[in-house]
Amino acid sequence: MIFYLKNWSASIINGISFISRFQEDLNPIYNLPENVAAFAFRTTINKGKFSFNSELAHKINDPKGGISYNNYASGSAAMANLTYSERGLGIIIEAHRVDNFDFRSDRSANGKELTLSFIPTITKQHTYTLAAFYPFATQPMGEFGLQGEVNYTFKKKSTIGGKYGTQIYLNYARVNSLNGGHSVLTTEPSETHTPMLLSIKGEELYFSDFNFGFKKKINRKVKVIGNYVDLIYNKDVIQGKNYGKNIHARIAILDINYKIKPKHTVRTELQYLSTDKNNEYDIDQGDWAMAMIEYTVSPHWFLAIADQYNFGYTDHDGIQHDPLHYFNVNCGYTKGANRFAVGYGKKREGVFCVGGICKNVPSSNGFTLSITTSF
Amino acid sequence: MERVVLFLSVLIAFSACDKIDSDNFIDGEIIVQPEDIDRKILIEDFTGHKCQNCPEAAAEIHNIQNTFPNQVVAIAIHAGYFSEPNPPQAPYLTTDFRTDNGNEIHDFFGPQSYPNGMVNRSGYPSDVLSNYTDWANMVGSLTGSTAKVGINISYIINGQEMTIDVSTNAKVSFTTSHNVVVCITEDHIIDWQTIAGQGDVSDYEHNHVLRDVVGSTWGQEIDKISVGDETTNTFTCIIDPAWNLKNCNIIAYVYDTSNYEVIQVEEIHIK
Repeated sequence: MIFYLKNWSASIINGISFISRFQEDLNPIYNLPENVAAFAFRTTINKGKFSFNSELAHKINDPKGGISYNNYASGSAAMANLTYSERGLGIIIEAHRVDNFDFRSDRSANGKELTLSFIPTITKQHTYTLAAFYPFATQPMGEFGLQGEVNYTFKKKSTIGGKYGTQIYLNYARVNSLNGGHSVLTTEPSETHTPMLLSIKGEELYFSDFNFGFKKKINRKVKVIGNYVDLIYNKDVIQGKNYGKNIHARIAILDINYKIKPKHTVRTELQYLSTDKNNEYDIDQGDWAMAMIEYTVSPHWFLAIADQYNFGYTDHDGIQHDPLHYFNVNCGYTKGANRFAVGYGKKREGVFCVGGICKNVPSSNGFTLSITTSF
Repeated sequence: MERVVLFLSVLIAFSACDKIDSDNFIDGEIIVQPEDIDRKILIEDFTGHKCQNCPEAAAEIHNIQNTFPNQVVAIAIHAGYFSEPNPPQAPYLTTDFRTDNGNEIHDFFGPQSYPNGMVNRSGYPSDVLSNYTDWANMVGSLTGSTAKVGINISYIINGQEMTIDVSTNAKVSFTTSHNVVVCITEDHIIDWQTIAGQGDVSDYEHNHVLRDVVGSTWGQEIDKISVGDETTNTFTCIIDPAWNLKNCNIIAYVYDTSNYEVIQVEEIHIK
C-alpha cells in the first residue's frame, strides 16, 4: 500500500503482514492454541534527507507445550530507526524492543530449529575476526536495544582528507533486559508479569559496544583501515553460563592494503584483543593477537596465511591453559559466482547456545575444502 | 472488490487465531486410563550435569510419570559434551556419570543439543530425537493400548554378582527379530548440577541415572516370538561398589531390531 500525499513532498509506504501456524494440540493436560497468529504493521516515511522506518509485530499466545510449564502471554516486537544522509555525512539512530517473540513453525522447537521470526541484532556486525569474537545475538524472549552511528567523509584536499579523502565512523549500541523479564501469563496468578514499555537504567546489561574507525587511501598503492572496539558482553545471558560477570574486551585492528602492480594486491591485518583483568569482569580466554597476510591476484586467485595466538589463561575451574597458536593457510580460486577454497589449520572450539539449547563445536585441526556458489 | 478482499482477509485472520482464556489453560477433562492397560513407555533422556536446561527435562519426566502412573519408565543417559566431568582438582562437577553403554547409545542416536530424548525410540532414524516438551504428547499417543509382550524380571544377588532373569511372554506373533535389554539405574543421587538461573548447585537430586547396561548395549535376541511363547534370557551383572543398591532399579525392555522401536518396558526396584 503506497500513498503519496499531494501537498507534502514525502513518500509514505505502509505494509501489513500476517502469518498463522496450525499445529494439533495433543497435550494431555494443557489446552494449547492450535492456530497461532502473528501480524505486523510497518511504515517508511521518506522526506528529503530524512528517512524513518518502523515495524510493530504482535503474536498471540504461543505456549511451548509440555506438562510442566506453559506461558500463555502474547509476544511483541517493535523497531524504529531514523536516518539522515547527505553527501559525506550519514547519521542513524535506532531502537528496538522485543518481548516474548520466539515464533517457530513447531511450538516445541528449540535452538536454531524452525524459526519463523527473525529479529536482526541492533548492534554492529563486525567482520574482523577478533572484533567478531564476542558477537551479540538478539534475545527473542526479551530485550531493549539502542544504536547510533555517524559516518563522515573528510573532503579531498582538506587537511584531514588529504589527496583522496578520509572516512571516519563512530558507533555505539547497547542492549539491556526488559524490566523484570519478559511477559508471563500462566495458571499461577503470582507469576503473571508484563514488563514496562521503556526501561534502561538499572536493567541488566546484555551487550554494549562503542567503536570507531577510519578508512584512508594514502596514495595510489596504499589504503589503510583502522578500527577500535570497546565492548561488554554478558556471557551468562548470551551463552547461557552462570559466571556472574560480564566480559569487557577492547580490540584494535589495523588493515593495510598494498597494490604491488595492477591486479596484484597484498593485504595485511593486525588485530589485538584484550579482556579487562579488573576483578569486576570475567577474563574469559584472556588476550589474543592475530596477524594475517593475504595475497590476491584478481580476479581469480588468493592465498592467505593467518595466525591467531592466545596468550594463555586460567579458566573458571582453575585450569591453566598454555599459550597456543591457531595457524591457518587458505588458498582459493574464484570464477564468476563460484568460489573454491582449500585450507589447512587449527580452529578454535566454542559452545554455541541459542534459546537455552547448547551445542559444542570442538577444536579441530585439519584440511577444509569449501565450494561456494551464489545464485 | 477491494472491500471484499479486505473483509475476507480479516475473516481468515480472525479464524486463524486461537486465543485461550486464562481460566481455560488446563483441559477440564481428566485422564481416565482403562484398568487393563499394561503397555509401558520408555523415555530416554540425554542429559549432563553441566547442561543447565536439563533439569527442566527431568522435571517434565517426573510430571509425566505422575500424569501416567505406572506407565512410564525413564532412563537418564549422561553422555556428550555437557556430561564431561571437571578434573578432580576442580571444586565441583567432578563426578563422572557417563557409562560406556550410555556413550554408545548416545553416539548411535546422535543428539547434537541438550536436553534431548527419545520416547520408545519411535521415529528412527529421522525423528527419533525429540524435545522434552513433546514427550508428554508422545506418551499420550503411545499409551492406552495393551502390550504386545509381557516382561517379568527376577534377580538373585550373590556377593558382588547379580543374576537377572527376564522372561518374555509374546501376546502377538512377530515377523521381525526382537532383542531384550537389561539396564541398571539409580535414583536419589545428590550431586552437583548446573541449573539455568541458579548456577552450579551442590545438592541436586539426580534420578533414573543409567549405571550399566548389563551385557551388550543392544541386548540379547529373544528366541521364540509366536503367540503364547515364553522365553527367559539370563543376564549377569557385576555390582559396582559405587552404586547405592537400595536406590537402584532393574529395567528390561524389548525392542524391534529392524527399527529400534521399544515395544514394552518393565522396571523393578532392587530391595
